Order: sequence, then C-alpha cells, then structure tokens
Amino acid sequence: MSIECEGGANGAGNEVVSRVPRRFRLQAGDTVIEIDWLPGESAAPVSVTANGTAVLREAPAPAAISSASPAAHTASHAASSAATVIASVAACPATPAGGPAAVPEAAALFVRAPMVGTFYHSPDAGARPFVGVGDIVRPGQTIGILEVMKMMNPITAEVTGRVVDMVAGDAEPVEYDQPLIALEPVGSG
Amino acid sequence: MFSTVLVANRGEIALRVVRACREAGIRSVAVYSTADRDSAAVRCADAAVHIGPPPAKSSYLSIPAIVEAARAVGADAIHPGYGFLSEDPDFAEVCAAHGITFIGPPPEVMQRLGDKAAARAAMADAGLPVLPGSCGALSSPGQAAEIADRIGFPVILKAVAGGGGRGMRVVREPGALARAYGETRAQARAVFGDERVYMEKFVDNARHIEVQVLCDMHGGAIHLGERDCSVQRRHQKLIEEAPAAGLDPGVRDAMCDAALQGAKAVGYVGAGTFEFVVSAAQEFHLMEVNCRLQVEHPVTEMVTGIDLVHEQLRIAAGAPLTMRQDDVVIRGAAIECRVNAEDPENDFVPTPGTLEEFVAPGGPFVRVDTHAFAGWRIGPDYDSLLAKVIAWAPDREAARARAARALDEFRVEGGGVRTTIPFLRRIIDHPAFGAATHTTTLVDAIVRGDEGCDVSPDLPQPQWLSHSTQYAKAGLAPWVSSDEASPNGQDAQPAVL
Repeated sequence: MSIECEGGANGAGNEVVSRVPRRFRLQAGDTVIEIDWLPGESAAPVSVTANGTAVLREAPAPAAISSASPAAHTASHAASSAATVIASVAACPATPAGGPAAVPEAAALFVRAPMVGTFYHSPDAGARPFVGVGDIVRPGQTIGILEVMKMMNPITAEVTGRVVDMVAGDAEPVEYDQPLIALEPVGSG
Repeated sequence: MFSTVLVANRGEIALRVVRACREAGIRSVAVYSTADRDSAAVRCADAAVHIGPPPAKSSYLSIPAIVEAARAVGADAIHPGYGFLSEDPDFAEVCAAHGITFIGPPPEVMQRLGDKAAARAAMADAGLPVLPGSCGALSSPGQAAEIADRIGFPVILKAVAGGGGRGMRVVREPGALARAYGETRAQARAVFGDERVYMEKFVDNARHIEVQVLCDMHGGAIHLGERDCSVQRRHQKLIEEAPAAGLDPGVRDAMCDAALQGAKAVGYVGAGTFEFVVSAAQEFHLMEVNCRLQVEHPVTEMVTGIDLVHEQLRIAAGAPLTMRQDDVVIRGAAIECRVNAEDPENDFVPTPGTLEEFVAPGGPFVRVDTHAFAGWRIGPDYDSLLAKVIAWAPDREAARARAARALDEFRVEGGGVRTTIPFLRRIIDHPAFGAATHTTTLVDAIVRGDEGCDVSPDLPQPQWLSHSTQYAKAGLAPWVSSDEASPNGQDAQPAVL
C-alpha cells in the first residue's frame, strides 16, 4: 500500500488531519508507516504545526516508495507519484486568539519561512510563479512552496498586501523565520 | 576527513564540537533556535543556520529542520552532541538516506542498545554480567510480583525507552510493587511515549562507574579507562572523576574488558560508554550502554590526553584507530564539577536570568567548558548546565584541592541567578568524597542533613557515613560495607547523562 498526503484537497472520504506531522517514516518492505504528531498545540510563536492542514488519503496504488527528484516539486507531480508525501502547511504567524489579526507595521510586512527548507516561487520548474512584484495577495493565498525533506509546503500570505520584493530567490535555501517576500499594505478590497 | 560538519546541538557541547572541528581544519556550521541567536557556538562556528523557534521540538529535535540545514550548507557530516537527537536511530537513518554521515554508531546498533530491555538481553548474550531481573518488558503486575519475589527486594522498575535518569522507581517491599508498576508505566508513557517497563535487582550503597570505549569501522576497539559518576542527585550527575578512586585494579580491568567485549559483540562504532553499577563488595553489573559522547567526557580526556571529539570525527570519516590499547596510559586524576544555574537552597530549581558577571576560573591544569559569558541571558527553554569545571592533578587529593580552588575563583552574578557552586564545594570538602568512600546516596544524605528532616542537627553524621569514614581511615573497605542499610528510602540508581 502507499499513503498519500495531499494539501488543499478536500475530496470525499479523505481524513482531514488538523496538524502537520512532526515525523513521517515510510517503508516498503513489510509496510511500515509511522506518523508522529506533536503532542498538543505548539506554543511556537510562528506556528506552522499548529495551523497547518494535512489531508491523508490512502491510495490503492501498489507499494512504491519514490523519492521525488528535486525538480519535481509540484503538487500535481506528487499526486501522480503514488507514494510521495506532501503535506500542506499554512504559514500563519500567531495572532492573539479571538482578537483581530494585529496590523503589522509596514516595515515588518514579510511572509517568513516557517521552517528551514528550499523556497520555490512556482509550482513547477518553468511554471509561472505564484506571485510577482506588483501583485496583490490576500490572506490564505499561496505565495510559494517550501520544500522540507521532500515535503512540499505551500506558503500562504496571512495579510492583504502588494508584493514589493521577492526577498528570497527561487530554489534558494532559507532559514527559519527568514523573509521570503515583502509586502506593502493596501486598502482592503 | 570531512569538509563541513554541522553541529546539531547547543550550549557548551556545540562549542566543544566547533572547537574540535576548527583544530582539525574542518568547516563547522552551528544551528540555533531563536533563543540561541547570540550563542557562543554561533559566534565561533564558520557559519550558522537558524532552524526554529525556542521549543526544542521545533528546533534541536526537529529532524527536517536539521537535515535541511545540513543540505543547505553542504555538510557531509552531522555531530549530534549529547541529548536531543544524539541517540535517535531514526535521525541517523534519515542522515544516511540524505548521504550525510551521522557521527555515532550505526542506526541498528543504536536501536538495539536504546531499547534498554533488548540491550540487557544482548549484553547478557555477549557474556556481560547484568543484574537479575525480567527478560524483556514486564507484561503484568502479576509477572512483576513473581519476578520480584524470585530476585528479592529491593528492585528497580525502569522504562524500556528511558534515559536521562527519568522513568525509574525503586521498590523496597512487595506491598508497594503494584502501585509503583502502574506509576512507572504512566510516567514512561507520558515522558517517552512507550509504557513498557522492565525490572532489575536494585543495588544499595552502589557506585556508578562507567567505561569509555572507542571503536573504529575496521574492528579496532580500545577502552579509555573508567569514570566514577557516583555523585548524583535524583539520577543527575553533579561531579565525575577519572580514574575511580579505590576501585580494585582487577575489578577495573574486568570491567574494561567486559565493555570491549560488549562493544565488539554488537558491532559498536564510535565513542560509547558502558555504565556499570558496582556494589560495596565490588561486584559489577552492566546497567546500560550510551551511544554518544557523555557530558563528563573531559575527565577521560584529561587523564588520557586523547581528544574524544577528534577521535569521533576520525572514526566517522572511516579512519582506523591510530592507537592501541597499550598506548592508552592513565595519568593523574581529573575531577569535573557541573555548575548549573540552579538554586541549591531551593530544591535546585532552575534560575533563569541575565549574567551580569561571569568570570570563569583559570590557572594551572584547570579546564572550563562553557558557553556562558557576561551579558548572556540564561533562558527557560533548555537545561541549566552553565559550565563544567575540570581540574587535573598528578593525584586525586591534589585534583580535589585544585577543583576547590577553581570553584572558589568562579564568579557568577546576575539578577535572580543562583548556581550550584556552593553545593559542589561542599561535596568536594565532604569527608566521604575526600576518602572516596561515597556512593550514589551521598548527595541525598547531604541534602537531607541540611534540611534536618529525619536527622537532628545535634546528632552525628548518618551512621553509614561515619562508618565509611572509619573504614577509610583504617584503610579497610574501599567504600561502605555491603551489610549496611541504605541511609534512606530514596532510589539512588545512577543517572544516564
């Protein structure tokens, strides 16, 4: 058997897991699948793990654990590759529970990396970037993909803003909390 | 040799590894959480990668973060230090899958020795003396009672997945067993995510003595002598020394041979430690094997002149050992004192705060391994180890005087910050430690005496202490005689780190 973990999709029969696993272990021989979640909600200030969404789906494909090639980093590619694991991560900085999202100061309007990984501007090599300078992004909109150990994590904006700089280059390694794109505030709408 | 080593740890041990890399001409890369942005390891390493927020599970324990950091900087090896991921076979496996050398034993060896019950069985098969106890994990309270009945009380229940001195409980009478069994399982489940526990005979008035081994990938294996780590509080070591004073040379040789035999039997590679419990009659039994560098490794370095981290790097790079057993000569005595940011007057509670003054001791034959500096903030996120003060001298008495002198020189000040220095100083001065007649119950006895719970200040020392001092004066038993009762009901099983 193989297991597929796909972001964004909400197909019937899928089990929706509200937190991103801390650790995956797949093995073809004797079929070992271990998924390790963090106990409880993370107290991390920028909490990918607390806000990410992963959809687990069991696929009927035969056991074949493939490692995605570095170039093949799209969700569509992964969906066709039976045992590739993809988890969707919504990059949401912590906002005070219950209250409205704090309006960040103009200088601090960055979408930041929620983990160490490789940042991609586009869904596939050669494909159009998710966003470019001058575009207006809205909360929840995907602005890029962060590859972390072959797991493709869509990075989303959490505020509305106009892209003023693609701070991190395409296919560039980024550190935790590193600015990925810079936004300037725009009026709502 | 490696070109770039990523140091997957923090604190003094990260700095220790960075220094070893620098000396070997290897580029080192530190990783850090947001809390360690200004750490000494970050400043000293050739590069540093920000891997996550302060909680360790999202930074130093995050395999994806560390492996991605290693890939980003082109590291060909990862040194895990101690704690965190150092004994995680999954991590070692993931490193291998990414073409990165994990500086430690092979994953399958770590897996086998990390399961304490499986390790017991493997070592018994290899011919090492293990304490009487259960074969593997216990299946029921009934089975626990049956085995305890057979081996006799006191017994100790331990978590199969245990470590760091947690998840163990001493049981002294049949009536307390069922409850202790349930409690230990609950604690094991909560702390290690694995509720399995096993049972061993508990040895009162024991010393904790461990043997350091180095094994290469080509079948070469040597031992670097032993360390005594009997000065412990709640299974956490406070003072360690090499060699173990008062240990019979024949027993010492037998222990070192046993460690080598065990290492060879499981195909051990790298630096490892075989921990033994040694009874008052100097009978030794293996407790466990630690598949990593130990906190107290400097005392071995000081008496052998061998840089253990450098040897780890060489071995992991595939080099054969350059020394034979005959080349390892134990010279003099070394004592390490762990200075923690804890308040000994207040049940050793950690004391976070900013260091206003931090002047480490120096002078002849004193080594201080520390990541702290004036202006540094001791945060609440990680353990409280502030510095390790290691003193070497040609003999133990001089090493003890030198350790005392070094502790007296140490100046640590900061709002709210307390350290264990005064407490360490008292242990160094204690007659039982001075005579090397102490056991793992020494610290409890000192604490208890201070608090005056069951010992009135007017009364003389607890009986076992005065006895052992007398023995020492008379030059009789190396430490307390076996028929003496434990001075208290506390468990005194030695610690892991």
